[in-house]
Amino acid sequence: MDRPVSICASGCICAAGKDTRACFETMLNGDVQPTFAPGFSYDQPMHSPVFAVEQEWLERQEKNPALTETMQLLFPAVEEALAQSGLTTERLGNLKVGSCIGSSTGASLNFKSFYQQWRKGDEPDLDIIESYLHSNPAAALAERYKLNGPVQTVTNACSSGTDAIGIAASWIRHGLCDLVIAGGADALSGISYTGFSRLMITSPEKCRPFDKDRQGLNLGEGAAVLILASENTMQELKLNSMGQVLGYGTCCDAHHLTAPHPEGTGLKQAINEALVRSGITASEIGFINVHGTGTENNDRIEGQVISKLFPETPFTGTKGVTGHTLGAAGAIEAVMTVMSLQNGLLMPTRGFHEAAAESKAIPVTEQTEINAEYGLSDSLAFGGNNSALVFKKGAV
Amino acid sequence: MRLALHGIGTALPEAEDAVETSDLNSYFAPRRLRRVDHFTRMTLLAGCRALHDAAGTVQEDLKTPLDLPEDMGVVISTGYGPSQTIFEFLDSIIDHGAGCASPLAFSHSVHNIPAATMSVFLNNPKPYTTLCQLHGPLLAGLQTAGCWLAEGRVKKVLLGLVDEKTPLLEDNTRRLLENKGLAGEQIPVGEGACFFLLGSAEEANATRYGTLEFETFSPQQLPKAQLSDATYAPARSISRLSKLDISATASRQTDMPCAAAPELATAAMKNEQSCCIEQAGNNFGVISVKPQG
Repeated sequence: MDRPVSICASGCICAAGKDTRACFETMLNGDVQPTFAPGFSYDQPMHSPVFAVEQEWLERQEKNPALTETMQLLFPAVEEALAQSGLTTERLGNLKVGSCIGSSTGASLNFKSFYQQWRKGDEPDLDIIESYLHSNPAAALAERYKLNGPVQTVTNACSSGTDAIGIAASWIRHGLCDLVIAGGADALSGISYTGFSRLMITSPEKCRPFDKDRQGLNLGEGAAVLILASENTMQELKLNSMGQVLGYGTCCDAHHLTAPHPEGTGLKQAINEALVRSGITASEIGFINVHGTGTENNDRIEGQVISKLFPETPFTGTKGVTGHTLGAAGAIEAVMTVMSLQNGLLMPTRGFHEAAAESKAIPVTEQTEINAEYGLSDSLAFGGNNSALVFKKGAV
Repeated sequence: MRLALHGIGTALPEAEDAVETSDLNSYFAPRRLRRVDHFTRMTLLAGCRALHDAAGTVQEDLKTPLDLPEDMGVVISTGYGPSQTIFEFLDSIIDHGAGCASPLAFSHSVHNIPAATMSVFLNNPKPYTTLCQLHGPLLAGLQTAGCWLAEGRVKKVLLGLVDEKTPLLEDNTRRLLENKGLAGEQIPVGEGACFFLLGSAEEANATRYGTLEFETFSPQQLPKAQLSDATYAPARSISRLSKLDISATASRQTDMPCAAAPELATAAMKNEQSCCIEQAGNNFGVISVKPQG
């Protein structure tokens, strides 16, 4: 069994809101409609709306043109978490602080116009290259706050955010640092929009996780972080606890590069590992915040696994208000799992209306009061990667 | 953290050439390899060689069994990821329009696909993780491998460091250095893969290479660290280390984000007390190798 790790603060930004509380409130009581935001080609057959962070709000934020859009999302999320915990730059300077961030497009060489010009034999302006070189998410975060602990950018596609938090908890347990800023960030990218569209897994309308008529995913963007702390640091700095990270499990299917294993073997293994490491059984999990992309394959396999391992456990999916934020998804869902535990409320699964006849996986459709000690958040990714985190309510 | 080093496998080029990966055809049927990109071929080749090295076996043909440890996770750390596949996807958008872009090229351009390919080829459903960073990729990979082993998450970790060179990377490197007035200091861009089969330190007596121990130091602390006489570092770090009064050797005269990995392989293969230094942001990671006994 793994030692619990304290969570002392969170930050979250996505189409559902500009901070953790606003995102949670929207998920509980509101709804978000994806839009055909400018900057993407919506020609047929690529015609899928996206969940973009409000452009006007982004433009009001402190801008560093030397950094990518992913970083423009990550930094406000980190600022929120630092403000919530009362951790100033001076206080961070006296501690060993790690930076562990999951990302997908945020670590990719997505500079199409530069590449196009270069292919023609031009020497295009190197600004975008400089920006990429300075925007590795975990490294740029460490650089901005002068963090002196371990630095890792986790690129496990759509499970990156979940994996980053799992890895960060290990750093605390093994004494590699006093605090870790852990989470995920990804901005919308025309390149990944094209790629997902060409894989024919995007929905032409708002996504419908677990619904019998689901047609695919909508891409989204966002960033979320948790600040994890050692027990000594929690006590010495008198930090408030908003919950605990318990077990983390991860397992690759070893089956297919883009499709989940038909029996969900890797996902089962990842969830079982997370439960064993938490020292609890499946029946003790009070609710699950699922991956639930709205694609045919993902929801079918995830639904089978969830309904088999957790036949009585309520579950919800939040991509109907955030879209699929790729490397940030697991982190946003982790933050919302902690919020649900803390507030005793589970959000409805926006976009879901009716389950397929043969499906036993029926998500929560209304705001639901819960009295749960433990919550689980899971992610499935390209490459057959599966990861799960268990969270516990209250202080260690 | 202290880890046992069981095996080393490399796929490195002669001088500034590209890595030759045709040996991979004796590991896997060419039909299975036909869609595997160069980055992933380097990954598979170096990974399999590390497994053979640990087992003391040699791949002779497709029938040679690969000795896969019972409970082995995989960590792959890279500076840029599979760059060429990303450019191939961009080529398909530019040449054919977004609506006809290649979905295959897109899926292969995702950072963790080389790790996933390895999981499928080795039929090894275990923890896999991919890290992508320009600074300290070796140290980062060792940290995750060390945590996984310390937690008993797996019994062995196959840690791989992989980078590939592309014409665009070479051109950008040249231009960036020219813009900074450092054209004369350019070290040729290199590529390659180095894999290390790691276990928990308690197994050190059963290994060929002994143990690795790693720690991070600030530039001020580094000169006081216990460094071995046989100290290796990437070519690009030699002059900075020299300013700190540290004498180090680079076994390769090319550069890539994962350049510390071949230096660690060289240090470990000396079979004497040695170390490798990797610059990680403003700090330095020191990986000490202590041979068995």
